[in-house]
Amino acid sequence: MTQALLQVENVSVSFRGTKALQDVSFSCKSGEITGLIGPNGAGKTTMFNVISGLLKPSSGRVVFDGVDLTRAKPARRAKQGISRTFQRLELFTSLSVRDNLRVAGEIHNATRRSNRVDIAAETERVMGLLELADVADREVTELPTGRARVVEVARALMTKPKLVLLDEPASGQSEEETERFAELLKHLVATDGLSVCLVEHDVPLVMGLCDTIHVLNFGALLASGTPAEIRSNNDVADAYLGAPEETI
Amino acid sequence: MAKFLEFTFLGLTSGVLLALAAAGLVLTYTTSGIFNFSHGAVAMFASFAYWQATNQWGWNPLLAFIIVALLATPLLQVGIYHVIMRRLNGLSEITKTVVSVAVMVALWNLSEWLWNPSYFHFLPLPFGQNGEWKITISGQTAYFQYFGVLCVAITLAVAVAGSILFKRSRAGLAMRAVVDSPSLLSLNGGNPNRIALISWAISGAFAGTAGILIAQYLGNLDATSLTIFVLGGAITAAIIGRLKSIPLTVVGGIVIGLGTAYFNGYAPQSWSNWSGGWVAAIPIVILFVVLFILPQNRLRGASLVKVREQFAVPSVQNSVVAGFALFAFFTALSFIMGSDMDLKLASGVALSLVGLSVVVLTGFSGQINLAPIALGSVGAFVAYHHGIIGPMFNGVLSLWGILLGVAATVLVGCIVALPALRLQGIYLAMASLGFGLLMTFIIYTPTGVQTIPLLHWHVAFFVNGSLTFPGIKVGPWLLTTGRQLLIAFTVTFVAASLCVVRLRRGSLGRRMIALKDSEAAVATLGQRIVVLKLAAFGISAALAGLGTILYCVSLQTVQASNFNIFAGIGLFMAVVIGGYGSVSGALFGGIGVSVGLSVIAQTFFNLSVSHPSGFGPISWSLAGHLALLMPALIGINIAKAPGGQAQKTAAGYVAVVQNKAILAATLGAVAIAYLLALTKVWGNWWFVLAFCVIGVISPLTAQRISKQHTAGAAPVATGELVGQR
Repeated sequence: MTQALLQVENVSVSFRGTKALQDVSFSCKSGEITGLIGPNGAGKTTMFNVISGLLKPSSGRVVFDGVDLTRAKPARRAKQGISRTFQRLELFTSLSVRDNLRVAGEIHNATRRSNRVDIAAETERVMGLLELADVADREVTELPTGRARVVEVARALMTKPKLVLLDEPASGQSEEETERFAELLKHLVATDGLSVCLVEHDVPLVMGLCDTIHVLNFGALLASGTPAEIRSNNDVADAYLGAPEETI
Repeated sequence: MAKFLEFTFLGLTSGVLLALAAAGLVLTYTTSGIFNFSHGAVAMFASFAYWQATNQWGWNPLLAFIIVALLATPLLQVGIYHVIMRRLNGLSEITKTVVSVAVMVALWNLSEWLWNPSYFHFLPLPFGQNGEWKITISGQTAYFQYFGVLCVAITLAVAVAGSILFKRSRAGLAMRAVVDSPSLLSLNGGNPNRIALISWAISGAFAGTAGILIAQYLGNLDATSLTIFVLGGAITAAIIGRLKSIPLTVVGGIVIGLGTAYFNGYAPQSWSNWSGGWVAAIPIVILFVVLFILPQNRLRGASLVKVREQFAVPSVQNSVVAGFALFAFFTALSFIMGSDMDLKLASGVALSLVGLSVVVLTGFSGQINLAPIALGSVGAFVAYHHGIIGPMFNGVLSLWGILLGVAATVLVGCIVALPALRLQGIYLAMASLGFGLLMTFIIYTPTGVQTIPLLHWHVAFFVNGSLTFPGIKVGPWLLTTGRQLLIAFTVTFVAASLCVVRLRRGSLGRRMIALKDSEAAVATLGQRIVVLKLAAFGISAALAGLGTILYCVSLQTVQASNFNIFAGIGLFMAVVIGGYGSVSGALFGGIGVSVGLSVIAQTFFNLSVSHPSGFGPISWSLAGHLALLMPALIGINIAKAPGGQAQKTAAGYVAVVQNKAILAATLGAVAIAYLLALTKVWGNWWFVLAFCVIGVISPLTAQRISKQHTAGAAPVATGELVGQR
């Protein structure tokens, strides 16, 4: 049985009385792609912020690879092997695509005594993998949103993470680009031993890609299971997907 | 008890006045997103205008108040927003800050021009000095001035009217909506720009009313102290209101007023030599406490929207060439200039080093320090007190003394930075402004030997009101003359610049740039933000310390005014105008502040003395005042060249470098002009004039020729395209 790499236990977050997350628990298994879905405002990005350390939960625990990281700063979590992308792009707009990746590699090396990377070689490898070589020296602001999201994914991969949190990576990508992106994720999980936690509104993508899916609704965990189980769950259909036969 | 009541009443009076000014600040920030540093200067300007109307033109005080505070000042604020502030979309917080600081400086210059600061401007209290109630409690008499009651009544009336406006009127509803989401307001048919204009007008009325009443409260009108009083107090009150709550802002103003009054009334007599500075510093101390208590926003994120300020990154090779050129040029200049001018230029180069600290901290890392000279002054004090060797009037500043000063600045810079690490953007700008004001009030203002309260340490910062710096001894070399200092400072600046360029091109520089673009992304990639910010503050402090020490050596005699907050803000503004992300911007700022302004002032002064009739209807004196307003006006116009004037000017010379004939002709003409000056065929000023003319004509000619070439080539290109089709 695959081991849980990330365990989120009873996490709650409140913003001035509004409960963004209520007692949510789920896990992401090692070497799997886990989906986190739910309607807008369900708390998905809030959960990513809690996992990556940008937001402190009012209660609950975040355990990664057996280490309790609930109180850890974002940098410590990255060092442990958590990397992420952002729903609202957070690229370094003064730098080129290549330098966006390079700086991530430099941060990785600067914070480690071992497991360092050959930055130049790794940058070229990751750019080749994500088909970014043709825009390597362009500024990230010149790219369309879809490609910019791929740059964020590439930057996240530069830190050699064990788990990468992808916040709506397919948003802004064409159908063909999304398909290629899905294949790439599968390839990375299969060959590099990467684990992925994915927030995405593209339901066919999530259903086709994920091993396990967790559904959030109004800040609470509504359901967890395989794509088939989620597809046949009436509560999920009511809350988010609509009538199963219409959507899926 | 009577004393307590009296001081409570006094504190309440000044508190409500600060609250009134601060309410305007909050209003404009919430509706337009611009923190208006010029708010204090607007209030100051209104008070002078009121003095002019009542004292000089004999207007009825009430009529003058209505016209100045309720009509003219709102119009001035609306003008500032409409002409300047609303064009700042897409610019960084740093540039927005500088523009509002530039407006402050412009109003300040204008007021000193219109109302000569060497004359006494006095505003009487509305009910006279004896307009007061006397109350006797347990044999002690307390005095309550009618003026205080008037201030409280006006503030209460404004608060009630403001509350009704916000909660009951359509405009108030729109104002609250624009705070939440300007774009959503637009989509629902609202006009955020019109709402912002209304709020700036109301803010103007607040500033005008507060300015006039504060001037009456203080009695004597002085542009600097009035601006600082309103700036320091109102900013603190606004921060207590978290820049969005007017009721909390009013509470903040009252807290500051009461705190200041009680300190004034109850501080022990033994503190008297320091308490004067501390009374003025109380709002700043409260500012620090509040900044560090209030929870800050989460790590700053970015978006894919690019800010308009972009700076080219030069190669190390090009930087070495530019460094050699600068060294050759300044060395050559030192042979034709007098010693005074050499020292002046050396001051400019030293300030450029301080400017480099702005480049590293602000340009690379996105952190704001509005008081770089105040920070550098720490190094200057240490170097003066511990680095001078030899007899008292014949000593020299040792290299170890300079290094000690730099080390002390780095230490203090990091200590100051530690609490500031949790602050971002505008809050950090305010904290640094507070640091500069604190240094001004507590360190620079008192003279002679001071005893630190409670610790009983004896310290003397400005021993006799000034410090005299000797020359520098480096190994076997003694640097005392203007030329020696200029050449040595230029070498130091070039070396430091090359290090800064190398830093920018290296891993640490890239991480700093990444920090500026998105703290959240940098943190989630594994970078400890604290370490990166400390590195930026440390390097920046080292440059500020070194630059300020050298600046003091070039000035020879240093006074408090060389260090005060306005000196730091002026340099920061000049570097931002020059381009705060590039070495050339630092050079532009340093030379501009030291040489540019004094040359402008001196030239027009000389002309006004030699030609009192001026030219046509404009006198040289008037032209001089206009010229002195120029830096502030350029700062205000920064939106047009967000990458900085240095980069814009350099871009103009690209065509010169590309055209070998023009380049040779330009260098030849400069060389001839220089040789004529060196051989005393003509004077230095003619050389400066010739240099400026060549500097203007050369790029224009090269650009014109380049355009003609392009125009000549264009039909061929079009023909090819047509042919291809």
